[in-house]
Amino acid sequence: MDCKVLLLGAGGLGCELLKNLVQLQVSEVHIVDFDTVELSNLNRQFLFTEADIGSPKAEAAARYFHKAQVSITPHVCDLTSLSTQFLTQFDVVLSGLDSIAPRRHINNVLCSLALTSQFSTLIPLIDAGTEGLRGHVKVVVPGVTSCWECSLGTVPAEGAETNVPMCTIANNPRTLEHVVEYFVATEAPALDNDTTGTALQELVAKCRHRAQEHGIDPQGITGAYVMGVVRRIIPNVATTTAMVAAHATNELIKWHLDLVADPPAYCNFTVVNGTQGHFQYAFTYARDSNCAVCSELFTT
Amino acid sequence: MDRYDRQVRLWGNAGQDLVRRSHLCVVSRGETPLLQEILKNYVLLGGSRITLYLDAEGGRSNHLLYGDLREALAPLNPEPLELTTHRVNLNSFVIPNSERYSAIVQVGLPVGLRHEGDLSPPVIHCFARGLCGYVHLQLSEPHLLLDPRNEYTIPSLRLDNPWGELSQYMDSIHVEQMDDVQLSQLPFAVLLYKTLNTRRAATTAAQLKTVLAETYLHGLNPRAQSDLNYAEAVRFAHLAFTKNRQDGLLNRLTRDVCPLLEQENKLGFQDTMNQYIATLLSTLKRYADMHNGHFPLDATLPDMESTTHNYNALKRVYEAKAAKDLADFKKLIPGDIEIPEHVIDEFCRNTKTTELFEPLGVCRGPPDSSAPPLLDALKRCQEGKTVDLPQLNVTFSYPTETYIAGLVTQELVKLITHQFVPIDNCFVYDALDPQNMATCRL
Repeated sequence: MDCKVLLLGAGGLGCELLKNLVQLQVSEVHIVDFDTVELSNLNRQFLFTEADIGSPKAEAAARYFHKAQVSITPHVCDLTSLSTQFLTQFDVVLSGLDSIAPRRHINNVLCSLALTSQFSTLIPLIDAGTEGLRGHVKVVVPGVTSCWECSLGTVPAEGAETNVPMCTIANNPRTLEHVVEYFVATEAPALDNDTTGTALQELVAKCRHRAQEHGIDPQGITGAYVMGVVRRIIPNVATTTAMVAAHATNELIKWHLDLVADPPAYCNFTVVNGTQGHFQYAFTYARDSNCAVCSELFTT
Repeated sequence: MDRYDRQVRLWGNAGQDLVRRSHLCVVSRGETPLLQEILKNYVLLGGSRITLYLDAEGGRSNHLLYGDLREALAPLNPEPLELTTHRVNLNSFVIPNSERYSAIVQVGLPVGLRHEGDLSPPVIHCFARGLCGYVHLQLSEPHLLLDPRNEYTIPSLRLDNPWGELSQYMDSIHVEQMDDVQLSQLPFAVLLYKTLNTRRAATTAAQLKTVLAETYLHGLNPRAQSDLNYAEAVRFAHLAFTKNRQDGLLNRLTRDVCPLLEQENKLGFQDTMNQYIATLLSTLKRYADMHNGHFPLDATLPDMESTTHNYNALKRVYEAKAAKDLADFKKLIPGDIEIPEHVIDEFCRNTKTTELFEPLGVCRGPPDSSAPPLLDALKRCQEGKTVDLPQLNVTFSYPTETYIAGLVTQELVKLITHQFVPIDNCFVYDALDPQNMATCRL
């Protein structure tokens, strides 16, 4: 398939997306991720093994396919550092990121490119995301569909602080979460991903002590529990990741093969949920006519 | 941090252990991307025992991800891979019953294979072509759920139907002697209980809110308007009424589930976890009959705005009752079956969820009269016929095979762990036309 792809993220979705792109034999992929491989990635990030722990994900992913006929270039960097000039070489951007700010950034840049080039540089963004058995795929074709920013209201605030009032955490803790949140608020612990590390062990001990002080059963306070609250860990599994990445790749195929019959009415927003049976629904996300990022594209 | 940490957060260590110990049977004509992707996902999830039946004549598709399947799968799971491959003639093949498979996956086969014996493990049929595919789950015995893993559950506060200790505790709180600060520190359950026990009768949430406003806000505590516990009492007034819901669940258990279990028990369950849950459901019925229609109480109390002291005191009342109920329930379990403690505990925690009383494959209604037209088209493709639909003739089918494989393994995990609700019973995927995307019952 004659298509040059920029792939953002080499995590669970990134591994699946890269594999799909290699299987489609696209002409070239550049993969961007500044993160390194951890043990807890290996339940879904199948391009990595224990030997890769500590290595940059983008490089390890490219290494896996070193014999493939597709040219893969890794970039171990923050995607916001990529220049506009660099981005213009791609036919499409696929993203499997785990946070909101970089998605907003790339959406913004691609919309601006369409505007400044008067649509001669029109790069679609296909964005995938998962959490547990749920996921989404959003397709942004600047000037045709709504953009990522238009649907910003559908995602929770990034790095959302806990919803629990501070006075509860400080004075009236009632649950284990309240106990751990106290230390998140007062000490901002920087935990790495090591459950045997002393930093975590000390924090667990402090949490248990605080729970007991307040008559709360400390039994559920384990390293994994504390880590989950402190690092706001999102559960992830290979099955959902595979499905969401697969659907995102199919979106690429549809646009690339020109199979989209009526672009403005195109169902660009897909949600997937496997908790109760299996559910997938696609619809046309309405443009925000006052969108700070894309509204100008529709008036020029 | 553990390798499986991110998925154990979904189905727990006990669920992960079931995945680890499972044994998957896969039947396919040849080695295809769909087959490879299913095995990849299964091994990634922690499965390691696979028996693979391939047709003696079956070849290998072009553009496979893995050259050597065994070599590629081994690094995906630290446990030794037990992959046994048999070459058989699929035209006359009958799946043997010698191994107790957790599930059977039939990859791309146009017709279902026969299985030795009356009962087969769950069978998943799957197929992908172009931008479309389907997954069909076929059950020969009802699939019983241990935990639907709902993110939100309705707590059984039983304020409308309290037991002795709860009434005693509530009656020991003398709200009329409290000042506005003390009142603002009471959990909302206390406010609702007290309102239910005023002379004004309330049998619905709307009535209860009215009485709450009249007796509490315009009576006992005029300063409560900005109290968080009062706001919660208004917002959660409906939680005061648990009796109707409990009666509804008991009715389902009596009317739908028990007759079914009696019938199935004569045959015996093939799946061990089904056998456990069936026993627990029968026990639950006997428990309810002996306890005035109540199920064992679940101790999970939602967080309520209050002081730590007040909340802990209330929580202890619920925990003590839950512990006693659980002990009473365990005494009723027949001695001829040994059910792991954690299964009993998990079952009792979930008796408040509707899904436990809707065995899959039997109770959810008759087959749909018409399956989606796309499914028929896919089945015609499977039989080797040409179908003139653009989405079926796209040559790039690898992502679709990945999607279908993801769904197959997702459903496998649900079946193996008895957690989350499996598909009932067919899902049709179409990446081009979302209108065709549908679940139907075949």
